[in-house]
Amino acid sequence: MSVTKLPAASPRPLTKVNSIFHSTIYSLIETGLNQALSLDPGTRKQMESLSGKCIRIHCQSPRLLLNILVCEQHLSLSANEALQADISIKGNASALMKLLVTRNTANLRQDGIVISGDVGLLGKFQAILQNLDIDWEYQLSKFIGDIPTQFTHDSINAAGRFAKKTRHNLEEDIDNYLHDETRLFPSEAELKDFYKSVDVLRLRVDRLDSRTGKLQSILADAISD
Amino acid sequence: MNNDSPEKTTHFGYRQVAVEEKADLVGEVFHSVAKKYDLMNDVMSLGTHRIIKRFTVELSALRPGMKVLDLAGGTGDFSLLFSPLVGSQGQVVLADINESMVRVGRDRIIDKGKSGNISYTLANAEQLPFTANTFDCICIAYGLRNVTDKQAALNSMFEMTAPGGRVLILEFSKPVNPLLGKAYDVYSTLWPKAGQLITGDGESYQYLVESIRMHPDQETLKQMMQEAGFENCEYHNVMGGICAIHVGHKAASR
Repeated sequence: MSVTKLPAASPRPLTKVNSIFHSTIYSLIETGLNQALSLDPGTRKQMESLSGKCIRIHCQSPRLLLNILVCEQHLSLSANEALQADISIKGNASALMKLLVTRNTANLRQDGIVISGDVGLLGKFQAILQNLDIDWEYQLSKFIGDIPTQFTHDSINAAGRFAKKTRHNLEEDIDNYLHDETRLFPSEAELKDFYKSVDVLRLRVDRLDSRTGKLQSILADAISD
Repeated sequence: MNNDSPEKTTHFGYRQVAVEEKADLVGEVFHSVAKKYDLMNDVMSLGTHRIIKRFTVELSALRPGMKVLDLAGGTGDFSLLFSPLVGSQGQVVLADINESMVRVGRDRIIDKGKSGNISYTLANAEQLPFTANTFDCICIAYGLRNVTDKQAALNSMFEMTAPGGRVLILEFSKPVNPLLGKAYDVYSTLWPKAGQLITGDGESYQYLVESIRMHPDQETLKQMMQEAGFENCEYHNVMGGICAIHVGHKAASR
């Protein structure tokens, strides 16, 4: 898959990357992102410190270009390569997704990601977006009122607790069934006992081995004398 | 080209009228349709004009702090899209030759509470009343068609564009596929009827249909831009060439 790049390759026009189709998709994502940002004034304020900065994500397979331009408190997405970027991130889709999901930037080179420009900007941008903390309860209360919000919140929490408890019980039941009822697997105590006796046996074998070695050397000395 | 004819006439739709009359006639058209302009756009384009406008704005490559001229800005659709891009440090100037359209645009922008960095002016595209080399981007959307002397407008736009800046021209154009062209022709004959129904003025939309057919095609307009001095001119056909977005650049250092 990997093709050696020619150093002096003539720049290929990216007009195909910039189409009305991309524009429509970006428009939808942009609306969603800005909507999320509008729900967290703190993050929006922080975003202002990066105003005017442009991050370019250049996906090589599939070919895709995305500029993320910070315009004061909101983000603008575009696919126009004429826009000057402060940092450009190149790579294939899976590596870029990995970069998006994890904060681990240690093995970027192994993943085939090439970053050029102001690398510090990427860190700042990631940090701001990962601190996005939307107060859903407050937002919900604006639409349905305080009491229904509290009720919804309690219901969701109760459902969460029930799910957690059920999962725990189920794990325990499966464990018991496999170990104690069907005895398909040994129990932890039995396993520990077994490992212990293996250890004892290993020590005894080691001792025996060194003893025979010693006796052999004594015998060899006696024969040579 | 027809402006060079000895009788000094120009086209107004399919009609030939005196050069000095065209601006007034176009003015009447827009006075009459200003209030329902956005609704009619939605009807005629089946809502696709929003996506096309968004795509055009993407091509502007604007960033915070820049200055942009929304020429023939009309009801302010583009100004509203440009405004957040250039931010509080930047400036958007909505210019239109038609007072009714500027009024509708200004009211609409103020109603949306986005007036911070937008200013308004009545201006003729052929003689733009600004300092030369001012704007990082000049955008004229569905406006050039109505200008009497298109070349003069392009020359004036070139003068106002800052070195390194760009001009965007969104306009109806010539469909690339003849079959699509036929279908579009049939569809556009419905516009005057829709116009009559919605705005009570079918004639204005008859003019619209005719003026679209009279407008120079993609390559001709590109050549006109080059004549005005723009470099690296290119165009993007949208919806098979029903519309085209021309982009031209003014060299950074001359």
